[in-house]
Amino acid sequence: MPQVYNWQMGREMWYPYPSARPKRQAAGVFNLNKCIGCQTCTIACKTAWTSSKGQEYMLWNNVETKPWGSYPLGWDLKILSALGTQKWKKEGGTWVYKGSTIFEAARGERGLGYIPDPEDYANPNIGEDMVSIPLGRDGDRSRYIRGIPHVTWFFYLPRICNHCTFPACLAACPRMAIYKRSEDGVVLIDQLRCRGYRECVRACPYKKVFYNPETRISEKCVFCYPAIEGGEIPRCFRNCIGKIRTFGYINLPEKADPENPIDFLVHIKKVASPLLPQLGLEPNIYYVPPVHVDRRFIQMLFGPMGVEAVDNYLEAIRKQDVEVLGALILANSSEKIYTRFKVVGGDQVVGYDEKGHEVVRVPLKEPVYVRFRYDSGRNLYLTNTP
Amino acid sequence: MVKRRRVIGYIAAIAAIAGGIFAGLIGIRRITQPTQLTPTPITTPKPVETPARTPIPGARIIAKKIPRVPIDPEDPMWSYVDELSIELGPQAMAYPTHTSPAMKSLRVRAAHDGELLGFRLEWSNPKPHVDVLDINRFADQCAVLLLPPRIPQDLLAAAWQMGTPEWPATILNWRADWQEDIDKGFREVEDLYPNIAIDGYAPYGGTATIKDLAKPARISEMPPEARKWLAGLSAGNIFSEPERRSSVAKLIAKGPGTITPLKTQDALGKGVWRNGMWRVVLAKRLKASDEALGELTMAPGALFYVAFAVWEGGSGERGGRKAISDLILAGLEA
Repeated sequence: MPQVYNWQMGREMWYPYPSARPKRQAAGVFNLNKCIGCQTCTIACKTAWTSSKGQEYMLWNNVETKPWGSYPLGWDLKILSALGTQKWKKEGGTWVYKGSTIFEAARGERGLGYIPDPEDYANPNIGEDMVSIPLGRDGDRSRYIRGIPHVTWFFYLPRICNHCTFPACLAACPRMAIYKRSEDGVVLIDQLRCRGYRECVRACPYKKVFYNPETRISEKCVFCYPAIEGGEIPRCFRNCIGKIRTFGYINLPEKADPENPIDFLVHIKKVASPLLPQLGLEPNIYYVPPVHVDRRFIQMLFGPMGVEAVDNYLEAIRKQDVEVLGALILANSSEKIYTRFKVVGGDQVVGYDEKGHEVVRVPLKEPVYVRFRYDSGRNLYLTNTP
Repeated sequence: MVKRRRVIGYIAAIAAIAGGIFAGLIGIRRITQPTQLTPTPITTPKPVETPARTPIPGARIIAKKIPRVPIDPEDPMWSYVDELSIELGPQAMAYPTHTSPAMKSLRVRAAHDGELLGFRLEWSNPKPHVDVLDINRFADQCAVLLLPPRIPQDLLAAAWQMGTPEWPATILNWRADWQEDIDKGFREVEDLYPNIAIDGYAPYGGTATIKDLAKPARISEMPPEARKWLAGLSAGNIFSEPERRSSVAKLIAKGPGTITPLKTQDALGKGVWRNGMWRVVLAKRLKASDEALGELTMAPGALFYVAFAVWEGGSGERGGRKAISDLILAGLEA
């Protein structure tokens, strides 16, 4: 039985196919501390890809409020409770996952999974802006914000297909109608070969494969591959007004390139970690976890590396690490893909494309102008309009 | 001699005791079970029990020569054709395996008219499942797998598993959702959810305004340029095809997970669900129209291998999750 190495879990695991990593792997880093839950990414994707008949319920990109939101309903809790205890142990500086992956826990199947009910998709924004626990009664100040982490918290979790290195959808398809492109690692469903069995819908723990009842076959996020091929970032990245999303290509940790923004944030500075790495899919969307959230929740969603990522991020902010700030500030500041970045002159960060051409240049700090209340030149008072 | 008598005596004694226990158990069951107020009438027609006259030695199924193969499964012509009951078992060879399929047996009749070879499959299914219009809905199906008779014995087991690259299997697959498409027109989301409302779809071109788009248009009513937004249809997937001509697909398979629609979709068939029973005809031309692609050509008087599969959509059966028969040697009456 093929054993593959999953670096996110620090160990080998069972997968139905031998390891076949693409020439390079398209990836993303989402800084959850900056996500404002505006759903512009959701709409960018919806208008680009899923506005046709049969796709009404589909959100290839969705933003859910954690802890109470989920789309489809309970996708994370259902798979986590089915998986049972998930233990991590630090061995020689690396976190090693000691529990079972969905591939290892599957009995007689290729992956632990279930087909959601239609109703599970009916409330895509359920739990929006709902806090973890209600604030206390009048006078009870114990639950108000007093430092980090907060007592009462919520945060937004934008989700797209993770274009996993070991996709469960691909593993589950008995027809091999799902493939991972060797040029960029994008996972696609062959729309001609698919016969609508929904084994992929059942197997994907992130529930990012969708069944189209009009074409009667399944569809999923395509990572805007036509844009990527043309050197542009995907639509949900490009339209992110909070500028939380960095697109790029990730290398293996041992081949991490400090000039590659994704490698730098994930491998070198370790401020970003994958979503539910314990499932064993080696997902390729990485998250800078929110700093104000209960660390137990961070550990559940992002593993113990997620908890460390919070500390690393806070430390980088405290130290004003210009490289970490630079890499994060550069996020989707250009529609063009930049694969290298550099802080120049101590106050600007520049993104370069593969040929070394400058693609984007952003100041590390926005210039500040101070205006006095009384403008003597015009003889008038300036007032702030609330 | 004495010893043998004694043995027979023992067997008889054990049989008598077992019989007594059995009768007793039935009696207890009778007493403990509540009386059924309305005995369910069994309307299942009795299978024709006449043993098949086998003009071809070894063949278990004989496709009877009749003047015309009826595509309607309820055509009285089918009552002149012998029926064979076939056991179905789990598909336990290829992923995804299915250890407890819903359907346990199937009744088969086969006939040919020199041009068409037809199978009439019949199985009981109390509740039909005829659409795939939502994520958790699967349709009832059945299929006939055909293989040439000259396969070496040692490759038979592999070929039974959806054919092999050297011995491709020709498969006829009837689907209840396709039958519904043919009987009622291509089924779409508004057939499952009649009150569906929509703000607007992708720019369908032409002069359509948002107001026009507010109610879903049927695919057949969409302007041709709008169809490109339906990815499966654009790719030419037969599942997405709204202008369906047959409820039976003609497929070629070279191993598990390889089934591909053949170029010429000329298989015929029809399925009717009545009184808890599916009756389905699946028919193909004896002379293959896609022989170059591996489709099986058959001739009167010749042998072939056949296997059957049934899916119960209500139990989520699809793909490899199905009930299958053994590989059966069959022949066409000369």
